[in-house]
Order: sequence, then structure tokens, then C-alpha cells
Amino acid sequence: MHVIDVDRDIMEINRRISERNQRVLEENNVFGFDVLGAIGSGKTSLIEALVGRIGKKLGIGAIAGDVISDADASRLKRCGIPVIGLNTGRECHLDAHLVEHALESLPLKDLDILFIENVGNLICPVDFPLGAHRRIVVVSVSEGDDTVEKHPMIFLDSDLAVINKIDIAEAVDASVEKMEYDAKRINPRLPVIKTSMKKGIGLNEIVDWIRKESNL
Amino acid sequence: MHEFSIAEDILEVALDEAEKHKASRIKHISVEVGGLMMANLEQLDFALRSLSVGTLAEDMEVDLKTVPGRFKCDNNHVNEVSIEEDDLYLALASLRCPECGSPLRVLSGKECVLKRIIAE
Ligand SMILES: Nc1nc2c(ncn2[C@@H]2O[C@H](COP(=O)(O)OP(=O)(O)OP(=O)(O)O)[C@@H](O)[C@H]2O)c(=O)[nH]1
Ligand SMILES: [Mg+2]
Ligand SMILES: [Zn+2]
Repeated sequence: MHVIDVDRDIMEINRRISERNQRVLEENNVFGFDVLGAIGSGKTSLIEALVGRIGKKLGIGAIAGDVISDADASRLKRCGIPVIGLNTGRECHLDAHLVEHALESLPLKDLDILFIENVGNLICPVDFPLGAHRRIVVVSVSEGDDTVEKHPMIFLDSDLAVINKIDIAEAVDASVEKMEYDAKRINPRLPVIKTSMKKGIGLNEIVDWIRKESNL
Repeated sequence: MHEFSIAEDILEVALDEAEKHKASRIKHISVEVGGLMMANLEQLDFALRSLSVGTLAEDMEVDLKTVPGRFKCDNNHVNEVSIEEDDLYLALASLRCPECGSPLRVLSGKECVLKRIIAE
């Protein structure tokens, strides 16, 4: 009989690859943003809007995670940026290893900013860093105004919270103020920007934040 | 549901170790799951058992236990917070340093450590 004291952190496997991914980005002077959030909250719309606003001045690329389709990747390609679509299959999140391969296929030398859109999910992606420098969490009023307080971990771990679809808050009976208050209560350091991708509200603020964080 | 991908990694490391020690069977593994991991222990247990079928680890005993998360506040007080899984999310939503009331940052609790294997 062997008693083997392994004492090894399994999450370290992903973490180490994510650190390697970050080094690859840095070697190519690319600043990475994770875009996480609930299903349908507006993650792809956010990236599209940002490409529209800063895509002429800066080289933008994207990695789009989808469970099975390549719908988001195709949408982003239509914005005229290089995109790698990743299917996670039965998994509910991207992992650093998938991203590592995607990085090999992107023209990193031409990029300043990389957006990594994760699969729509407020829980699983939290435990799997991918290598981006900052994390943006996108929620929208249509998930209900208790969605922030129900998912504190992702707000503790993000660098920017976007509360989207404020144009329909009244129609779905959601309090944007409550959502913002909850996010600040969970993480008082977290900047919160209220947006409507549809009406173009709040996007300038996001652009300012992106430029400040990436120094671009 | 990322318990399956975590279980896959645990099992891979465990089988690797068993092979290194030329073991023919894994009888027991113990794993410590950080209290702030978004993983459910029952599902992790189930995933480990399902994935081990047909491997050296089939029918092993699985000992899973949670270790409390550790937080540090703005004034550098370190707190261990042990929260029942059911209450974790609610508690996190209003978590403050018990000593000074300032907000907390996570120090640890997002690990999943394969502690020990008993093989033969
Ligand atoms: N009313 C309103 N609709 C919006 C807004 N932003 C996005 N939408 C709509 O919401 C739907 C989902 O938007 P996406 O950008 O695809 O959301 P997503 O988070 O990328 O979705 P998944 O990747 O499928 O999880 C689309 O039909 C958008 O047109 C907004 O600010 N207001
Ligand atoms: Mg999308
Ligand atoms: Zn304190």
C-alpha cells in the first residue's frame, strides 16, 4: 500500500496556463479584457459597440466562446476584426487552455486590444482565469434586478460592472439603482456603468475606462 | 456545472501519481475544496465517481472537505470565513471585516487541493 501525499492544487493547472497567456499578450503589446456575464445580457453587443467607437484607431481582436454555435464569432467578424470562435461543448466556461490555442491563431502583432467573450454564465467562469488583464462583467435588467446580489462572487472578482438594457428597465419592472447599489455593496471598489447598447447610452464612459486601463 | 472539468483534472493527477508509484489500484483520495470555489461537493463527488469507472480509481473512497475562505480587509485584518454553502452567496453580498467593518478582498478559498492518495 502506498500513501501518496500529493498536495497539489488542481486549479493551478488552469492558472499557470492563464499566466502564460498573459505573458504572450504582453510580449505582443496586447491588453486583454475578459467579457463575462449572463446569457443574452449584451456581451457581444458591447464588443460590437466598442469596435465601432475605437476600432479605427486601435487594433482590436476577439475570442468568442459559445457552447455549440459560432453565432457570436460570425457577428464579430462582420465588424471587420479578427475573431476566433471557441466551442466549449458541454462545458459552461472557457478555460485557459482553449484560449492558449486561440491566441496562436490570432494576428497578435496587429492588435492593441483583445476581448475574450466567455460563455453566458455568471458562475462557472469565475474560477477559470484566462489570462486577460481586466474583467468586465455584463448583466442586464432583463435578468431581474436581483441578479447582482445572487452572484456576488463575479462582482468581487471583476474590474468593471456594466448594467445593460436600461432602456427597458421600466418595462421589465427592474430597478437599475438596486442593481448598482448591490454591486457597490459587494465590491465598493468596482466601477459601475449603466448602459443601453441599443440607444448608445454609457458607451463613452466605457471607452474612457478601457483607454485608461489599457493606457491606449 | 464545472464540477466535471475539475473532477477530470483531479482524476488525471491522481492516476498519474498512481502510475508513478506503480500502483494497481487507487483505494482512496482526499481533496480539500476552497470554500469560495463555485463548486458543489455532491456534484464533484458524483463526477469523480462517474469518471473513474473503468480506471484504476474505480470504486475508490472519495473524501471531500471544504476549507474556509480567507479574506483581508483594507486595514489588513485577515479573517477566516467559514460559511455554509447555502448561505455563502448571501453572506458574500454583504461581507465586511468583523473587526473594522471595511470591505474584504479574497486571499484564498479558490483552491482545490488533491491532498492524498492511498493506492495499492
Ligand atoms: N433593449 C435592449 N436590447 C439590447 C441591449 N443590448 C443588447 N440587446 C439585445 O439583447 C440580445 C442579446 O444581446 P447579445 O449582445 O447577443 O448578448 P450576449 O450577452 O452576447 O448573449 P450570449 O452570448 O448569447 O450570452 C440581442 O437581441 C440584443 O439586440 C440594450 O441595451 N437594450
Ligand atoms: Mg454573445
Ligand atoms: Zn478590518
